[in-house]
This record gives sequence, structure tokens and C-alpha cells, in this order.
Amino acid sequence: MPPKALKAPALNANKAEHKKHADEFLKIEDHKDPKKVNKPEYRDETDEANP
Amino acid sequence: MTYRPTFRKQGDGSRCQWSNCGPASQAMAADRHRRGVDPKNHHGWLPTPSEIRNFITRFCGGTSLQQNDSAATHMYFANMDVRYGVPWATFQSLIISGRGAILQIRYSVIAPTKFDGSPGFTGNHAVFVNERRSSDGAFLVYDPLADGRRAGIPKGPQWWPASLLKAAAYAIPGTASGCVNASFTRDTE
Repeated sequence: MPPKALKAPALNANKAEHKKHADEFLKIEDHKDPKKVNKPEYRDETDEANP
Repeated sequence: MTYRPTFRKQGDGSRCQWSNCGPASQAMAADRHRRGVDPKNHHGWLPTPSEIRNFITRFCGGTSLQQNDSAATHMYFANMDVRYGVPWATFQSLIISGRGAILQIRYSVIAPTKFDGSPGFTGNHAVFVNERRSSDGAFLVYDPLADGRRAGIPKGPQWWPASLLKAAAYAIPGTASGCVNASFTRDTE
């Protein structure tokens, strides 16, 4: 699970509250590292689709 | 009014086209990040999946959020915020705040729906999410597979129900419970 839980504003909150939450969340370093927040089997990679 | 980038399909006839969901999504994200403004360097503008692919690797195969971000930063000065384990409520909040995002999804969740752009494909995929509609909570999704190449395949950006987008993002194997993995543009509003 994510290392630090920031409570997101309600969906109908004003845009300024969402901007504040976004700025605060993006500062959390642990979310930049997939190994710190995801399970070991996670892989940061896409697959080949069908034509 | 939220800036809407030019739609880019991955099936453009270029090298590695069917593995280019990441580069195609990144091309649209870079366009949004810069609000369509050409950085006026030696790379082409608007961004294309093939040019991003060629920067990442000469080999085919899947790409990561980090690889695509590095390419866009170098080529278009579009330095995105790559984040893992993002709670869904926070993902929604970032979109509402004025950012677009490349979102990793599992296509097996999309396959049984009218939004399926690649019948039979069920693997990891990347789409660009541009905005949320407040009236019903749907998201405007730019799926690089939605090129209308034959009957039954959607064409261009589509409004996906939030429940569908969330379920597809949750289904990426190994993702933290209740979270998604995404790369966010700057706030363009």
C-alpha cells in the first residue's frame, strides 16, 4: 500500500483544493519508486496488441 | 476549457506499431503538456509514436512510463510526473486539478466492452486520459488502439465510465490495492 495516505478532496470540491492536493501528493518521494508502493510482481511495461 | 491534444493512433504503419501504445500515449501527453506549442528544436512537432519509439530503443516490445517520460523530456521538454501506487481518489483529483495522464490499464477488462480497440488482446496497455466530465464522472480516454480501422473498433477519444477505467487500471498485475500507475502532465489550466 502507499506509504502515506493523503485524503483527496471530494470530487465536487473547488479546483483550488484539487490543485493543492495534487501538489502535495506529487511531493511524496516514495510514489516515484514502483518497488516501494507496488507488489513484487508489478512490471512497468506494456504488451503487444493485436492488429 | 481543457486543451485537447491531437489523437495519435499506434497502428500507423511504423516500426513496432502494435507495441507502441506507450509512445503513442506519450505523444498525446507531450502535446497536452505543452498545450500544442512547438518547442522548435530538431525533433518533429506534433510528437509521433515512431519518433518516441526510435529514441527509446531500436528494438520492439513494451515500454515503461519512465522510458516514455525520459524520451519526452529530452525531445519536447515535456517532463512528466511519473507516479506509482496512486490512490484512485487522488488520480481523479489530479485530473480535475488540470492535468492529463498516461494511465496503465489491463486490456482484458476493456475487451468485453464497446471500447475494445484490439479484439483478442488482453495484456498491459497504456492510454491517455485528458479530462473528467463532472455531469457523470466519465473520463475522456485517448486509446491509441481506437483508430476505427474496421467495423466495431471505436475511433478517436471516447468517454469511458469511471468504473470501467478504474477497474482496468486496478487490474494491472502487482498494482497496490486501490491504486493505479500513471504519468501526469503539468497543470495546463
